[in-house]
Amino acid sequence: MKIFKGYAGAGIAAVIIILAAVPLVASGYHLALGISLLYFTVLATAWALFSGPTHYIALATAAFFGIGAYTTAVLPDLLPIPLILLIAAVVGVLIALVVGLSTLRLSGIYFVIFSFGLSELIRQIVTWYEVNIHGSVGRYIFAETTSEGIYWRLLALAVAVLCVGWLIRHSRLGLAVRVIGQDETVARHCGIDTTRAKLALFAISAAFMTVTGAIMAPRWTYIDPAIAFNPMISFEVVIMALFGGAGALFGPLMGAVPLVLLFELLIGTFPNYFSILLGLVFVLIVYALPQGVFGLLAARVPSFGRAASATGMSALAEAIFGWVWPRAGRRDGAVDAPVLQVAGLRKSFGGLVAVDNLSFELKRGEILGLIGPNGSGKTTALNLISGAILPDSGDIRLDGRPITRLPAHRVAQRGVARTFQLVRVLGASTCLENVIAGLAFHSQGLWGAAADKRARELLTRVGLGDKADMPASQFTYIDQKRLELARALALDPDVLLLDEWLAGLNPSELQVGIALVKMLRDEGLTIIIVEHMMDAIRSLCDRCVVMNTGAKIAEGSPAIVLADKQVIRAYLGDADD
Amino acid sequence: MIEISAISAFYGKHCALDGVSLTVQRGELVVILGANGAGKTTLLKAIGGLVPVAPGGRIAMAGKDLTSVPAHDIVAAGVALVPEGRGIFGEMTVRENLLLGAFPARARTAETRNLELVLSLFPRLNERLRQTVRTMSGGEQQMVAIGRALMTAPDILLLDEPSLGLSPIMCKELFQSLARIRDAGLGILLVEQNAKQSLKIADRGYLIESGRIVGAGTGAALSADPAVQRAYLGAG
Repeated sequence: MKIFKGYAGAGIAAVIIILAAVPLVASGYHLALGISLLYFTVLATAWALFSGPTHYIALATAAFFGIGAYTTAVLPDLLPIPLILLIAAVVGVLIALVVGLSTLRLSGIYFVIFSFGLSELIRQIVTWYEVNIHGSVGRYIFAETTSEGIYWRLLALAVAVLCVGWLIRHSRLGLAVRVIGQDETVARHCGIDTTRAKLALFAISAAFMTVTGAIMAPRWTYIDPAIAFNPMISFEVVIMALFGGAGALFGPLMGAVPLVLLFELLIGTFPNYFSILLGLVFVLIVYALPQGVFGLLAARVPSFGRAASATGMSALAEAIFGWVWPRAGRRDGAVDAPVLQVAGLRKSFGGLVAVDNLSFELKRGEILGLIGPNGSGKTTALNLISGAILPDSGDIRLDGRPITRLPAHRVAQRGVARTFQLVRVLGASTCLENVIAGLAFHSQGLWGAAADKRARELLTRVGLGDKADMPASQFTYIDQKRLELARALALDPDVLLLDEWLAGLNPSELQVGIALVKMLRDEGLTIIIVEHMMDAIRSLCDRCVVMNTGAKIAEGSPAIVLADKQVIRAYLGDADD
Repeated sequence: MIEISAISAFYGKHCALDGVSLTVQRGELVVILGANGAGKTTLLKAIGGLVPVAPGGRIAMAGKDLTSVPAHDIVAAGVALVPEGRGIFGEMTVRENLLLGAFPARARTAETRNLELVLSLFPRLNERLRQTVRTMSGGEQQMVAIGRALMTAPDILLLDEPSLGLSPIMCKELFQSLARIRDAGLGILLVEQNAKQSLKIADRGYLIESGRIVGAGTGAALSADPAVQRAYLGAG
């Protein structure tokens, strides 16, 4: 394995051996402290696996931890421990899948509240079951185990969660959630099945939490729902991960260790004021260290700040986590049909009909201009074609096959790429990673060294060859536009949708932009452009479709439609431009 | 009215604005021309208090120092910015977005009158007062952003590419509206890629290159200036 290289590998191995030897010398209080450190490290790291990159703050740690504890309590004491832990992991994954399917479409505060409510719900269900079916509130656990055993199991689990975290960060799954965390819309239009990616990660994270609960349960001898589903665990884990730095693999570890020690100190010295002091600590952390301990270190030591990037992917990691991505639908070669057929498309928002019975066809290798006044439905039409929203009725076909009801990521995989009206680049990623996000998830997806090479080619093609390793957030407007184009081209599209891609360019930049689009057409790409720049429309488009209040009012060569009386009245106004 | 002397601004070590000085008077429309990345947006952000001004520069409004004053106090002093990328509140209605603009004390008494003014400039907004802004088209959102800035009852209006995303007919109407706003006594500082139309209505203009002002003159003079043609409109 390439995870451990040279001295670093030897160092890590030595640390693990030393930690494993701790129970031989420590006992009683110190061993208990060691167990606390380990189990919070596992929980915080597992929490950050999912919540770190996606920025979905989950408060469900206690739920999974409690489920794990109850799995141990319910199963016969005589079962071998590895089997108990395996069953706990499976139960955790199953519940995470059910819960995830129903909640992961929520975002922001709704997800936070729901995940918290979920913990309470599970606790209430368990309590109800215990009282009404089982006939008691608590359960005794007589499993044959020792503190040393629990310590060693937790240590193994901590090593496992860190290894899994490393592998995820170096696989396409890691790339996918980094993109999702920054911009979920962009992720979908890069061909990323965002639901699958989030669900997979949520389940992996939950499995570690459940197993932690299952390992810890025998320590209490007696558990009831209030102990096992203690909501404080959820909050403490979030604080630890944020304090350390949820974005980095070792961040949660750096938060868990000092905070567990601090909690221990507080509870020992000021048992009556523990909650108040805890609250103060939380407030101080948010004020003083918004980027966490890890962020602080990264600012001082540059090598610390080197985040996982798409270029450092490991084949092993991809082999392990490749199952997340089903084989994308294969694209058939050219068919003797228009590349894109739109028929009778209609979409209304409330009472407003944004697109009304829109029909047009797109021939291979042509540039179609979609123009019209503000609010005429141009962007909505692009959103319908790219799968960002679903039409009320109508039919969209790509190469003769329907794509009308496909979700955005499937449309992107089939070969429809787009840019956005207000430019959307992934600011926290490098220029290169932005492009690799487009390369990695389509039907002939590339990653690792091949993606690196191809991404650099694409960047050179749009004129960013020398800026591949810069953070995208530092780009000027036109370079962001170029980058967005490179990301769209990375999908190897049959149809490219450009939503005001030339807007905001000054006249000389406009010439560069037009030349770039012309070059793409000469390479055989089929393009729809939504644009208000009449110079660009005249020099680029083979044909124009003019929309007004959602409906098509004219179609034909630019010269003909721009001379049309109705078009002039609705769109151009009188006089010259 | 507003006097900017020798302001500089940095992003990290990168100098985005290098000793820029300019003035805008009441009833005057001044246009800033320059390539993308030249520092135009940074200039407007620095004036609006969104980017810190390096020591040595000074921004004054009617004699009152506005250097390093928080952004909301700059609005209260009568300088309103329409940022690039609109910055509208998507989950609120058109009406709520506009009324939020009238938050500064100076704007509250004139709220009704300003709302009428905005709605007469953009009749489309009058039809859509109760629509959630997120569901509007790009160009319509741009109108909301400009309208909201006007609701702050500014003396100086800073506009960053207001024509972005507007159709040709709307674009023409926008420039006519800007000329009317100027005639009503406001000072306008306009950053615009649409050089032809903006110079047509501008009283004066500045040409900016790599963070420095490299040319200045009346709108007509700049239109004819070969340096502008070369630096901005492209050679030939």
